Amino acid sequence: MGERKRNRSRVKIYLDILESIEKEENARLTKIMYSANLPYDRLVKYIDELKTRGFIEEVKDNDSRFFVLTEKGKVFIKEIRKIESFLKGFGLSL
Amino acid sequence: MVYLNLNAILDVVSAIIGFSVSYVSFKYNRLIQETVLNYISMGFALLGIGLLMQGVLMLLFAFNLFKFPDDYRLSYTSSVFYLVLQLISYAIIAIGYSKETYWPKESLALPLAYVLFKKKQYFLLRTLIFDASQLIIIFFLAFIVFLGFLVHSRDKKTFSLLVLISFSLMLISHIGFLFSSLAFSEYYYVISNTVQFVGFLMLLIFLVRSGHIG
Repeated sequence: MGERKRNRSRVKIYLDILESIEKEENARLTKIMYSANLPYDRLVKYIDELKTRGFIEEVKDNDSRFFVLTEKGKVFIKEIRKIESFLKGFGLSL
Repeated sequence: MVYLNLNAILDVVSAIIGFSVSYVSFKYNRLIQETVLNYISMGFALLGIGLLMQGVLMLLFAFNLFKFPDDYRLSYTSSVFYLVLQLISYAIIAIGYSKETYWPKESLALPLAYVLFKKKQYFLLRTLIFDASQLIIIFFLAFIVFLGFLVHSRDKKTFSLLVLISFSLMLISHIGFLFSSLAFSEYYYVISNTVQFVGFLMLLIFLVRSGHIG
């Protein structure tokens, strides 16, 4: 009858990645990997999805590359936080 | 006239809030595919339909478009329909709420089936339809409040507190509806309806605070 452990949903993983990019401003892949608690191969897959959806942009600077949030990404974070608040009211989580 | 108008307004506004909760749940369910949101959406939609129907009927009587006793049968049928809708909607919310919150799927089905079976005898007595329905609704709401309390004691968030207060007020209102029926008192009915309305207002505050309205 205790609280069941649930796997993170895809939306929650998106949110974790986007929040770590938001926090870092110019976030590098390694930093996001630790912050979002994802292995490299899965992170790359999700990063590609987020780029395709237009939520983040890849910026190349000399040899390094980092990621920034787009306006669409900022709006998406706001929406997901609203959903999280609504779900919390009924004892649910993403 | 004032009695009918006041109750009608409370019911219609409560229905609109119910529809809003239903719509938000529906919208988010499409986005994140969470089964519980389906239950919440359907439960509040049915609750909204019942309240709207009851509110509109009261307005029709208040403006003499329908008259007692000529349209008594319509009023009676509508009230029974409203009760059935309330029963179904609270049952759906109770099952949905419990499904993901704390209990395994099957554990609720058995006590619910038992209660419905036990109450079946009351439904055979036409005069007790209202009271029997209220008893079952009170049972469902007490269960929902219990789950709400568990949820809130776990996360201690304002959002879950607002939902808990809302369902608690709905529970108190239905105890009041039962009492008003037993005491044949219009006065207690209006008070109970107002308490129910405040319960829906809490849901509105929940929607506003979580950024869905305003």
